[in-house]
Amino acid sequence: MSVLKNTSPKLIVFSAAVIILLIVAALAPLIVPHDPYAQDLSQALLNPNSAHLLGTDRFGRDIFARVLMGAQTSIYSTLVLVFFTSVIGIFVGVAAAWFGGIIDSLLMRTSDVFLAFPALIFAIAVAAVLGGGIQNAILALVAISWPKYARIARSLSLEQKGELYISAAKVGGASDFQIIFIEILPNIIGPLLVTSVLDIGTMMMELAALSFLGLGAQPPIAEWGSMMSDNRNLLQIAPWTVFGPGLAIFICIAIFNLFGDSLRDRIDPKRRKK
Amino acid sequence: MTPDTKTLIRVSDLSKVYKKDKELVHALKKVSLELKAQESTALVGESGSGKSTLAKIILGLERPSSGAAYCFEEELYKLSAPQARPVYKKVQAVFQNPVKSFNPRHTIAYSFKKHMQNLGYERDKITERSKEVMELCQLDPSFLKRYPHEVSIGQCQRAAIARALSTRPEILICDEATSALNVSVQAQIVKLLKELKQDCRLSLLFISHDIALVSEIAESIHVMHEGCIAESAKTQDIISHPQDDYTKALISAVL
Ligand SMILES: Nc1ncnc2c1ncn2[C@@H]1O[C@H](COP(=O)(O)OP(=O)(O)OP(=O)(O)O)[C@@H](O)[C@H]1O
Ligand SMILES: [Mg+2]
Repeated sequence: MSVLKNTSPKLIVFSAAVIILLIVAALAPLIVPHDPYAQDLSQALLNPNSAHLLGTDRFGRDIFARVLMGAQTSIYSTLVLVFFTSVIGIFVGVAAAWFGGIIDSLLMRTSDVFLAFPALIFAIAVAAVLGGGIQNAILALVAISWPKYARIARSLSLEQKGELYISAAKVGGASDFQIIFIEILPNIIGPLLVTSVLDIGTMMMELAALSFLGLGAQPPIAEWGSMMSDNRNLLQIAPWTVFGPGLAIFICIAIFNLFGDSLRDRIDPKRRKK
Repeated sequence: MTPDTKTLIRVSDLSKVYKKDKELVHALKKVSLELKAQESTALVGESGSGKSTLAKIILGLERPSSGAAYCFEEELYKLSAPQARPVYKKVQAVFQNPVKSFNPRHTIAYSFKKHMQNLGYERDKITERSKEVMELCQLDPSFLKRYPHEVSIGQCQRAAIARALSTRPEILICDEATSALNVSVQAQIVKLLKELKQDCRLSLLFISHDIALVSEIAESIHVMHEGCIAESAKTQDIISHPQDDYTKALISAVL
């Protein structure tokens, strides 16, 4: 229980919320009240009612079921995206800091080039070249988003590089690989973890935006961004068709951000003041 | 001196220039010295005289600007980690700040384990050897479970010495190993080092700014001043008949 001793109630509540969200998303196919893909034109564009909590779309598909299914696509795709973005970025940043010299210049100039592009425009271009599909959207966003992590990881590693324990490790025969993964990484992972959790919201928005533009998840796959896009011209006659997925995105981002904030207070209290 | 005493460390014409904001700092200027087996030598000099720079170059943590520092006939900075391991097995170091010389995220036991594993100590004997060296340095082996900030600074320095001695090195380089400690703990550590020197047949390269402290432990002294060796001699000779003006000033400041 010593782990929980310094844990704020806020953190416990938001971790629980995140866990619930992940479980709901994982179990979505089992708990949906209706088949999210079954079309029934006689049931098209129903108002929210007791059978269809969030109403139906123009094909008669249950919005609530589609929002639940969409949770799976949206949340897990975002987690995959954030995971690869941060792993690649962190690795590049630590390597640049540790090896220094031309490796550092080369990696950092490359990251500068990527940072110079407006993220979404670049992602649109990449996704357009690769074609639609959620994998390509993830790939496009990873390609444009890693430099941020590389920068942070590099500056955190540079602080550690001069520390005495690194000298001690070298004199203890540690290889570059060991110094990066065993010595430096455990000392910088906290703030980086916080950064990635706080990025989940932004990444979810960007992924939804690509889907909204038709470059991410392809119909009929239930995904919040593409659901909003599909139904956008019904906004005036059947606002619930857009409201459902919109609300889901909002709740989801809020939960991840609140979780990230309380995680930061726990792991990295110094930054709280900034 | 017996004819078979071999030279363990040989520094010849070593210079080091640091570039700091376009300004050149000559930290070492053509320094030469030798350390023979089972001999204890001290480097004394005021802050900024280049003592740590010399130790770092010998240990391969910095590269020389010119000249060379050989440790068991190897220039450590040129070697890759696997190549350097046999040398690090024989030459070890203890640094000024004991708490910072352990990774704050690892227990002392884990740091010991990695150290011994890398330097080729038999894996199944590591736990046993960890306890043994802790006792050798008069520390309770239960401290192995702790993190570096969970022991006192003096205990932490003992643990650092224990880690350094775990692979039975021949040379121990102590860079201001007692400077961060208060006077009574300092005396205990010096006493420990003197005992270990005897028991483990160690050669010491003892670096300090305190000539009184150094004269207790070293047989010979090199006095460093502004990156040069001002004077080298047997400890008694230096204390009783200093030749160099800078040495005289150092001694009169203590007495
Ligand atoms: N990484 C570095 N970059 C630039 N200059 C440095 C660096 N390290 C040391 N110096 C300079 O080299 C000179 C010698 O430093 P060094 O640390 O070897 O002195 P020292 O004798 O160990 O001093 P102290 O007793 O304070 O430890 C100093 O003038 C210092 O400012
Ligand atoms: Mg020093």
